[in-house]
Amino acid sequence: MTEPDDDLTCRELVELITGYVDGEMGAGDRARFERHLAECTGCTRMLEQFRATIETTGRLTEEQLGAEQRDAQRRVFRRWREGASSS
Amino acid sequence: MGTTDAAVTASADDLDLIARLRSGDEEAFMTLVDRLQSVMLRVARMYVSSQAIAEEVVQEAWLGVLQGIDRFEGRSSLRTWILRIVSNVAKTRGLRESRSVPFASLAGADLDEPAIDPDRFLGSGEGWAGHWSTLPTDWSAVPEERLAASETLGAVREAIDTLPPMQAEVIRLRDVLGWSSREVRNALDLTETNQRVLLHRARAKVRRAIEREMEIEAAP
Repeated sequence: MTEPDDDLTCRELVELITGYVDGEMGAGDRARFERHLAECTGCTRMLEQFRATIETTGRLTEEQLGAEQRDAQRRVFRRWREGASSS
Repeated sequence: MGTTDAAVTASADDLDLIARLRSGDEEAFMTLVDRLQSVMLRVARMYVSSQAIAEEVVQEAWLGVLQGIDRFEGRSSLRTWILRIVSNVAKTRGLRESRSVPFASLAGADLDEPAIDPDRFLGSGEGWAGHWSTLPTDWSAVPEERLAASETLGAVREAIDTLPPMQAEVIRLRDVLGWSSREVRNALDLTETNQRVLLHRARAKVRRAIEREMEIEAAP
């Protein structure tokens, strides 16, 4: 095979996927990345897997805060407000 | 630079909350508590020795937020400013406990290693070195419901919970809560490269957890 020296291998490409999907990649690297992708089923699938991973992670939600935690912070606020108005 | 790198300043929503906080509006404060308390507790917990101390740190940080709100100029988003306050309070408290936490122990010892298992690629002795030895499976054929299934989401949650703390927090902020790269860097005091490397490792491990889940389901 005769590939130019600056072509990415699959192993190199997969380490750049986050930079690619987050748009944190220079124009030259992006072109190199996309040139490889256009000819590689494996990397196209891996990129798709990362996108699906990000989307799936996005379905998680933060747990609701307990009443105790909320009340404790409310007390902080009220103490501050009383202090602020009396000074 | 990508679109996620735009400077992040206080949003219209932030400005509204700031104005209400300055006027002593308790509901504005509780809105912020509901949004940020969990993140603040986790960030504080990275630097101090117990959950109880992390809770004290967060209360102290909220007081710092209230006392400093008149001086906040909105040059960052409100939430990154608040997270900087909590991490500063937590680091100070950690030092007082003589507990210094090196960045490497928060970030994970595996940062310099490849995120994807090298065994999946052909070795240097073979033709096509560095190319796939077996192709990844095609997830576009996987039904949407399976990725969204509670088993899959449970596997994702578990994978995140077992990440080194800084990797876990970066993926939570970016991919669960949808913060921009810039905000996460500001909030957690990370360089652009560190943010990206931490996130990539975290995503790679979550991807692997989903892949395992698919393999279990596919097995006869």
